[in-house]
Amino acid sequence: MPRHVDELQNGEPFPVKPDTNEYEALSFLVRNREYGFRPSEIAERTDISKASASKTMTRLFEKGLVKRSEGLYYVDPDRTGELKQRLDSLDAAVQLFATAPSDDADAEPGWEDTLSSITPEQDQHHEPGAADTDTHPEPEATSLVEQLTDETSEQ
Amino acid sequence: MSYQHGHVVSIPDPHDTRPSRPAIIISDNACPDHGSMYTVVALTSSQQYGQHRYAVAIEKDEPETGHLLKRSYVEPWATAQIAHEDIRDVHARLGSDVMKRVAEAYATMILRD
Repeated sequence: MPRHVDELQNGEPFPVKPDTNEYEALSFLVRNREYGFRPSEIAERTDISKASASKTMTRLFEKGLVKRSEGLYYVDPDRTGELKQRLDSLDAAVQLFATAPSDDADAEPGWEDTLSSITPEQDQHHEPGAADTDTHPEPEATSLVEQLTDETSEQ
Repeated sequence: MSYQHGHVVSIPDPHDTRPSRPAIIISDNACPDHGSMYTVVALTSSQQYGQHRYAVAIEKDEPETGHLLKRSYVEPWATAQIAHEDIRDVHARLGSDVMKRVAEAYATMILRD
């Protein structure tokens, strides 16, 4: 059965974990996107040790996340936006978990498997974009703000 | 599939040490990079967090499509921008009535003197 391309592209986890040398080196190269660096130069400017810098950069290169030319590593200028988004998302997800409450029942392992996922067919009455673009919630938002501000001023 | 405003999704732990966290997509395609990045607000079944002033309770069977694991609370103070690929699955879709309660909580939080 043919499947939508969006679906096939779905769920590729970012091949770099937070708090690792690879994460730090990639973040460094994204921040310094206009330059290429040798592994030793990356080690000097980050917390990565000189001993592990070469190995780290080789792994990032093999994962297709960085480019290499004459021993210098750099990020593809066409991909810096995408890589920055992925790193930012990783940071945001880490933060989301760092602030999770301890008495969370969703914290039971595998809850997401017991709760069935909704399929696009079940969700089809909600046409993509229909609620996103055709509604005009501005007047409602304005009246809500007015209502809440009135209440606040009366207190 | 792309995710939509009102979807209840699961976000895996980047460290792979804890179970996924549920969250609600609150951005839509009027936002920049919609489709590759989504603004989400965290959802929890923590009774303790449910006590907070701005928490919004959602009953298990309240979503228009699908359902929640149990009675849950929206945490308007915990929002994040998450990449499409860092979202694992869609479990439910909330209707406009629930989204209005979320909006009200945000408005109350922001307008508070």
